[in-house]
Amino acid sequence: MVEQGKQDAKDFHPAPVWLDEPYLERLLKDLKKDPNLKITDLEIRPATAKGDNYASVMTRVKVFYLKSGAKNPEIEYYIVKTTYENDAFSSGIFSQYQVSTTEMRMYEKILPQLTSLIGKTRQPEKLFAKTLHVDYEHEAIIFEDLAVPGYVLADRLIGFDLEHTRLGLRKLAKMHAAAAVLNERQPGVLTQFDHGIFNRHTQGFAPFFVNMVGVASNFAKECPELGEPYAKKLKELQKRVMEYSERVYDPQPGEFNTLVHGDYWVNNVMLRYGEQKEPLDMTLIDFQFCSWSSPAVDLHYFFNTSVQSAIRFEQQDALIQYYHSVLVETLKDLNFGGYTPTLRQLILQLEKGRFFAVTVALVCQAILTNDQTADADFHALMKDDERGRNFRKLLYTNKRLQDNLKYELPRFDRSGLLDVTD
Amino acid sequence: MSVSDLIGALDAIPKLTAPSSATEPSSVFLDAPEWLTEEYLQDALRKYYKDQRLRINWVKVNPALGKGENYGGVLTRVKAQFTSSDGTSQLGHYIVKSTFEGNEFAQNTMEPYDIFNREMTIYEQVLPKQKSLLREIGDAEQIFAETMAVDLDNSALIFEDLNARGFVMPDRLVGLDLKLARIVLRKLAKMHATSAVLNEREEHSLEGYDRGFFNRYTENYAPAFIGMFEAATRRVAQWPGYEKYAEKMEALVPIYMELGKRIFDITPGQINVLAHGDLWTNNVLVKYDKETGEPEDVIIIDFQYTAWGSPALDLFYFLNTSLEFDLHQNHQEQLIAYYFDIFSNTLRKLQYQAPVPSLHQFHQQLHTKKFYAAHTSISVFPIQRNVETADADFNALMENNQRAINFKNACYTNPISQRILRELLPGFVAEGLLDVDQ
Repeated sequence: MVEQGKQDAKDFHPAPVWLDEPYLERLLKDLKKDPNLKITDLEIRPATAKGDNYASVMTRVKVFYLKSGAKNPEIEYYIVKTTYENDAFSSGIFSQYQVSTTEMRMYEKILPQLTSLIGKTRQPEKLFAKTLHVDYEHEAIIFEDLAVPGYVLADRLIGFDLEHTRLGLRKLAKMHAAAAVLNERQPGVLTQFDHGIFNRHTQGFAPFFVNMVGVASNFAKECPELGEPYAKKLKELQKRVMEYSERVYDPQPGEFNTLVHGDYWVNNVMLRYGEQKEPLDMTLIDFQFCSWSSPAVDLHYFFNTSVQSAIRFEQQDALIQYYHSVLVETLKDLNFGGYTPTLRQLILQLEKGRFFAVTVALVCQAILTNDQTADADFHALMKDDERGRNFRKLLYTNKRLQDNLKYELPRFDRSGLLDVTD
Repeated sequence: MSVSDLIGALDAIPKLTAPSSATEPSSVFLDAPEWLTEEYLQDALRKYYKDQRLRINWVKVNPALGKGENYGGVLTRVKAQFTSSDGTSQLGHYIVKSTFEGNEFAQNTMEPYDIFNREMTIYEQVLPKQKSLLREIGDAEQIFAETMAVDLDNSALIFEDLNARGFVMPDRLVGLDLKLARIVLRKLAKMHATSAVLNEREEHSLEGYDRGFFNRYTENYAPAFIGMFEAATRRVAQWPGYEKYAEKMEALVPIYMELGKRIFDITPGQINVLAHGDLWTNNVLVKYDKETGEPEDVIIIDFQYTAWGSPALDLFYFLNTSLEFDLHQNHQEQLIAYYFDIFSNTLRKLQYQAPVPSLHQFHQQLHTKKFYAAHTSISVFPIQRNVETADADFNALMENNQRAINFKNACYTNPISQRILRELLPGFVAEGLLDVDQ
């Protein structure tokens, strides 16, 4: 949800001071198991613009090196991801979610194992950037630069069409399946991840979610198609939005649980396009909020932030069926012995967790559709000052958001999802 | 031909009537059960009005329905002019509902479903208590027909003929509109709520009703349901682009009855009610305003298939058989929400002790029974919308011979049934409702 800064702004975050040639050479010698390896050329370029945000800071590295005995240097491209702890407020909150630790563990231990598992299925494919190294001391992750093979960020304002959506669901299903298998083979390795955006340890983001539901209530009040009944329900819902969302995240015995991405929206995938602009491949990035949960978390999040509305409203059933077919096929390829849900069972699980679709539609969708400012200003989202209130109100002036909510709110209401029941 | 046309035509046929005489009359009527004599009727009326000196002046008796209108027994319409002991005369209109007579196949096939005894017990013992519960909370709404007599020996029920009060059967070929659907659902919600409360107050007295269309005692309805489903499969297989759907349907046949039974099984943790069991257009009588043509009121009839179970049994059945096309396809959720509001409120007013589910919880409960929506749309709707009535009778429905197969195939020539299949099948498949692995 919290985006990277604009690429063409003037002020960039400087590269980390410890990221120098000696460091990289030591690293490459170790990783390539070649004590005589030498770096011949190195380009280090900051890639993240400065802003007020708490954000990941990316640094681009292009390294030319000579293996021992080699005549011609090899070139490799990496991204070094570190965190910029600019302000105490933001970093204080994000640290409650253990985002750095989670992502480091994911890149160091988990993603490589998931990659290995997927490599053993009948239709292996690339899901993640390859990890080069995780430096816990510097809280840095070094992985392949996906820009080099041609991966780019998608246009979040357009949202995903059918083809992109299917691609995203295919990748997600494979990640979910591989994770279920990994935890089956190494019990506990993934269930320990329990600091997703909604979790039972902290409600640090509560001001954000609660305030936004309040803005939604005000919007409904002024909206002729919705009006006072919805405004009232949403106002009441503010008190329970955190608890009801946390319930969706709680893994349930007897249901299918897996490692969910936790922030699976259009800005956390990268795409490679062909000549006719058709999407050829997709990789997943940003693993700060992974947790052991129901796939309902990722599916409701994805559909309600990243999928074009016509598809979200009219084709969701068929797309869930597709996701399920890939999930089951992958689980089968990997000889998963645990609980494999039938399509009906998955649907019931999704229905049970459908309150999360409400949360995402009211809150996260507002940031996604926002075309006023490229950055999700964390302070403005969280704080109850005038600037914050104005910013959140501004998010709700977006016409596409409004149109979507006019369609969705009555439907949520019809299923009793806007009711405070306990 | 509409139902009212049919009744009008039958009414025009001259019937045997008995002139009043000094001695006790006893005549035999054509096309009516043989025990339905003028003497019988007089006795029944005397008992009902508590007037031993009541005398019938004349009686007119007709069959009440035509082919394709009722597969559940014999309905006879009775008009009787009678004089009470105080000298006043009145014209009474009644419907006599009795078992299949002379149709041994029907009697044998239906025996395990026990529909006649059940209906009599319901009218005699259960519905009046539900009516009292509504009165308890000040609700005077009439939901079902008043019974004039319950005759256990002849397996017959005599009701007030609602037709005489202006209630008619809506056109089963068109389906109910929003206004009418809501009236029905309002009544249904109250029936369901009162049944749940009654069951609670009477120590689970209604839970023995376990012989609905799908039950754990008999599969005698299998030729009807599977026969229709297979006819649907044959039709679907002819449509370009629908081959995969036909394959899926084909694969479902071996477990079809089991899937149906699971719907009727009690799922722990869910709210249960005494479901009507066969709630569709023909079991709903409507009073239309003479001037505006707007529906004013509704009476629910025919309690032969009542079963204790999920409200889904009635909701999915009603919503997938009895609505106008657009409502059927697009507005079921709204109607369920409307029903639930009244259902839950009535439960609370009656101080129902067990937990009342939230709307979302109810929604999830219905989801576990959603195969019934697919079954009803695919296999039941086309029976009820059938226009080829030449062979529309009990035997054609419940047998497996060529005549029966022809009848079922004919049901799927109806363009409306075809449209339902075409438009709803993809959704059912996408939702995994036709998966072998559910």
